[in-house]
Amino acid sequence: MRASTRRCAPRISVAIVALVTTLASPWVNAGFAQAVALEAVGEIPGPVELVRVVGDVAYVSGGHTFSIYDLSTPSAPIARGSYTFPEEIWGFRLADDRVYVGANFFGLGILDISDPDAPSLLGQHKTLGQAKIGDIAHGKVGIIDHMEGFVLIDVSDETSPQGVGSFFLDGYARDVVTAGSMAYATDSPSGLYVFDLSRPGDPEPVGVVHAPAAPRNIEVSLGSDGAPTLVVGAGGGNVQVYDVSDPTAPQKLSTFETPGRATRVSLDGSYAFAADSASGIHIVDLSDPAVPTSAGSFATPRPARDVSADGSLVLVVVGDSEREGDDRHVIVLQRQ
Amino acid sequence: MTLTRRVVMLGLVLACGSGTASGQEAWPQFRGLAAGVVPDDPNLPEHWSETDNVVWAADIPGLAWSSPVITGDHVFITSAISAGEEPEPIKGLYDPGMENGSEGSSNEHRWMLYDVDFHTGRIRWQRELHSAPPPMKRHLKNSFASETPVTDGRRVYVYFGSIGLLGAFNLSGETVWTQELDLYNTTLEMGTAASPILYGDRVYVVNDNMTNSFVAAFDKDSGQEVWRVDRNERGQNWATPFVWENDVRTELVTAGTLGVRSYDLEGDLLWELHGMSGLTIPTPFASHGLVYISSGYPGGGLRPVYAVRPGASGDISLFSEEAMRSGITSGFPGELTSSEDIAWSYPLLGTYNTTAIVYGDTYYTLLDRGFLVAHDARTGEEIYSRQRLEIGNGFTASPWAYNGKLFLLSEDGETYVVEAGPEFRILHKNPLNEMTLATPAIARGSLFIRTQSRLYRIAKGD
Repeated sequence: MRASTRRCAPRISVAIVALVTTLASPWVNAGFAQAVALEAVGEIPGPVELVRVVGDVAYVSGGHTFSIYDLSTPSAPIARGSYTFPEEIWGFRLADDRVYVGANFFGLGILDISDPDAPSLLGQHKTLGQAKIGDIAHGKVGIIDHMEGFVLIDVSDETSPQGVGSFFLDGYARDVVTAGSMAYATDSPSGLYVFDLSRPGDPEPVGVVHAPAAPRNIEVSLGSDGAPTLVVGAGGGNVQVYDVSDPTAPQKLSTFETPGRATRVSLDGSYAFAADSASGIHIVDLSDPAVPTSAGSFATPRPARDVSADGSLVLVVVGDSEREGDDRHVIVLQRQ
Repeated sequence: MTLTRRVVMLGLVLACGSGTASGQEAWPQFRGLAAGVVPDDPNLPEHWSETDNVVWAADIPGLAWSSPVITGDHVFITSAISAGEEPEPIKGLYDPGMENGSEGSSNEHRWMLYDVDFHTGRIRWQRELHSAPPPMKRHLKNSFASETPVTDGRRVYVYFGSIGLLGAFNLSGETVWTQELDLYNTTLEMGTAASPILYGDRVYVVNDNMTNSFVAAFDKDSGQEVWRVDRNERGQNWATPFVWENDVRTELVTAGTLGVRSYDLEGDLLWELHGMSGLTIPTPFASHGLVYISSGYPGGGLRPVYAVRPGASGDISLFSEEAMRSGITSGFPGELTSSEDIAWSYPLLGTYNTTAIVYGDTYYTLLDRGFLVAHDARTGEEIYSRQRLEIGNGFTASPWAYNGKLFLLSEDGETYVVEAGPEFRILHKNPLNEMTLATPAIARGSLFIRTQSRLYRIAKGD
């Protein structure tokens, strides 16, 4: 069980279900004529704030703890290992058997998850402020930090990461995701910044889109040639789509207004799954990214806080409060 | 300076008693009488440390981020002292999350007023004004005594929003009057901070809260409420109001997230201005015939600075409804704009905690995450763009200036001394090695800096 890949190239041939029939679960799709139909099959107990699924493995964080679950049987998740940081986890990204965790004032933690029963801390980099998340490309990790902005560290020696430099983002830096040698950082509200991590020295953006209500959470999708094409984000209350095929001239392509308040997004094939707060999960078809269309929804019993989709599985964090209390857990959904 | 202002200042100077020869005899209120600027004085210090040029350093118990105020030999300072352990404040800007947000306390607290002797640093007298567990929460970085008192040289006037106490005390510490105001929460239970101000025979208080926002005037001799005006605000403001004496009239300028509002001294609305950021903290101030107003929550799409001309009326909002709703599509600081009533404005130049300063003909912006920016105070034209002080160092205290230098006090307790003028140049740093959020005070050739645990009087040595 390994986190072999973490994002998927657009796959138009994902399972498409024409109609939703009556489902046994109380948490099922409402309505019909949905392109993607989901059924609740299991749960991962809380407290959970964030979730990622890769293949049949779930990665979750709640409070200070990062945990791994085996979803070989989606209806009966099996807890594997976990690692507890001294501070609150704000975000994490997976890359092969590594996890890059933004752990508040602890900084960035690099976890080795090659043994899913015993995640271990390989290295740490204390940023000057509140570390939110990190992601790796080209042997460097880009970290989001509330005081510094976009922080770049060299992880040639993972046990002793070395600072390269930082670039100040104008508002509150929120998220980073990488593809190829590119890192995409979002800042609320100033916009989307593109960094080429193959360049030596201090990070300088090669492209910027100043966008009001920029997303707080972003994901990137790859074209058929493996090059990054789209950055899709949520967090401003909607789903936003950016064309990043030319890294020096990123453009905002479209905005899709979800019925609720989209807070986080996950990409799988040509679909974006948005955690849409009280409206549950909303699925957006990005086959034509300039004209996103609704591909369905899934009503959750409590507000959807985070979502992750990969193949047949869609995991959603539900809970009445955002980052508070112990009421948040994961519902495991399966595509019909 | 208008005649009225001269009379007020003369009265303050006379009331302050004897002191050393200096351009600045008293520091009666938050940021002083000239928004952080004092006349040049060769006696004022430019270098210091925990030991260098320290006349005295007094231990001040408790946790408070109010500033000292000074009249004559009296240095007044407030605090809130917990009987138990309280979480340590964390520096910088950060999301509250589950652990760094609002903090309540079940510990008994004592709300204190101290009179510290100017010459020795000895506590001349102290008054415990209230004792109880705090009835409300506060942001981890706030305190239960963040409002700066104000003095007219005869009395000191104290407001603690966290317990709803407004009071006047004479220079011996005796109660002249107290008023119990209702308690109100601010958004996300971040606590209170807007300081009271004095003008003429009145004390003015702005309390913007979740349920019943108001601005009120109190008779400074009796404490009786003279008038009160409701405000359409939702507890997102911590801005101290400002009395602006201009060529047209004298008005009370208040900054707020839902609107900047200027009232005449009887509480009647003169003009309003919409288009601020989601949280409003900087204090309005005046120079060059303009009043400067700003707000700059870093997560906001509009973080404006406005330089407003005197004589405005009605709604003088500059930005469109669309811009106010969805933010500005541009990089820092946005486009320079103006209108009939607004001499200049930038949509993204505003600071979060610090208030800007005008020194000479330059408007200096100290951004909270350690940048200094300079613009022409009259026109808003850029003099220099964002200049980095030091990566990672946060700033909450507002800057001050004298002797051709700007002083920028970081949350780490380091004061960056920057040459005033068209070229950005850091001259040196003065460390105090302790967290510092309070804006310092300057009087009688001395600088008063409050750190988390101490009050320093700093003056140039022989």
